[in-house]
Amino acid sequence: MFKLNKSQMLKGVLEGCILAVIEERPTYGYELYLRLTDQGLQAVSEGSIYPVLLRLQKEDLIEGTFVKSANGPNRKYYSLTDKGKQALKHFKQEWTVLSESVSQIVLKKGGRGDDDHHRIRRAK
Amino acid sequence: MTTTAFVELNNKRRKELTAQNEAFYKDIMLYVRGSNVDQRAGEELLLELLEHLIDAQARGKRAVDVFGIHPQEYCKKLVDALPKASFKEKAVLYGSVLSFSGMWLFGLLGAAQLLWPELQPSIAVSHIAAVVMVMLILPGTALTLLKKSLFSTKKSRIENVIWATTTALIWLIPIAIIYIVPETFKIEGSFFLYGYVFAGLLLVHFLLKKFK
Repeated sequence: MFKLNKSQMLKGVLEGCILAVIEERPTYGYELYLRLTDQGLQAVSEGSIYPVLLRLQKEDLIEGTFVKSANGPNRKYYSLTDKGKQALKHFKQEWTVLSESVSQIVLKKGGRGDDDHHRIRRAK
Repeated sequence: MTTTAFVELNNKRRKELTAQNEAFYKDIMLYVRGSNVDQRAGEELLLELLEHLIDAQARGKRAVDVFGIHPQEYCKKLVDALPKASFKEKAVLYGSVLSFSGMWLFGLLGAAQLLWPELQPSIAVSHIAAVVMVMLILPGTALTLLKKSLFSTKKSRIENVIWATTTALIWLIPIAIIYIVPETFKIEGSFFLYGYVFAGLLLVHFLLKKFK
């Protein structure tokens, strides 16, 4: 049987999730990964966040600042730009509509209740 | 932070990795450094990935768990998402290669003129054009081959062969060209002319290094 891959489903929404996590507070790559997986996105593979972070930087939605440390780790902290805040706002609106529609279709048999189904059959 | 500072930090922090993780990471590093990407953005990313790997290693993870079982595809995604190298960066790279091979060529001619003047070592415009052409093609070709050899199990041997061949070619090509390429527009050489050209190229090489 054909199985939908979890990571394929995630692809389209990962950028939005990353923006939302960064909005809470500035964060660096490894912490970002942990926060995503802690909140249930186990399908995110560790390295896969970096190409997304690069794309978001290129699109000017996030910006990174390197904080150097003498002996410890050197972290690049990401925060949202104004354009990023707008993009996240837009994503939230789109997601609300999309998730409601998908739930409606997938979880309620094509969007119709059982009564509707019988009514349609009877009409035929 | 300058690009050099990123490279130095990377060298220092890389020592934290286990041998296995370092070998895996080094391939990613060579791939990114050998690609047409903005050097500073590339180094920033490499340090970020390194710090991530050090954190993951502390949690008992291996590089393959972090970057996946298809590192070449992963690297391609990274390189595609990185900003491309600027014209200045490319000009500095090719300028350095050209001035270096020119110094070698004219240094050799000058030395030959001084030591064995009876040989009357000379050079022609066609020789210079051929050296420039080969040196413009060589770095790109070597990097493409090197990138292909990364992430393979037999890589250390192939990598060594590519490095050795490229290094040998850089030294041998100018000499080979003088012998093989026909002389067109011969330049009447003298020890002083070769010396001046050598000094000029040395200056260019030094300036390019400084403005890198």
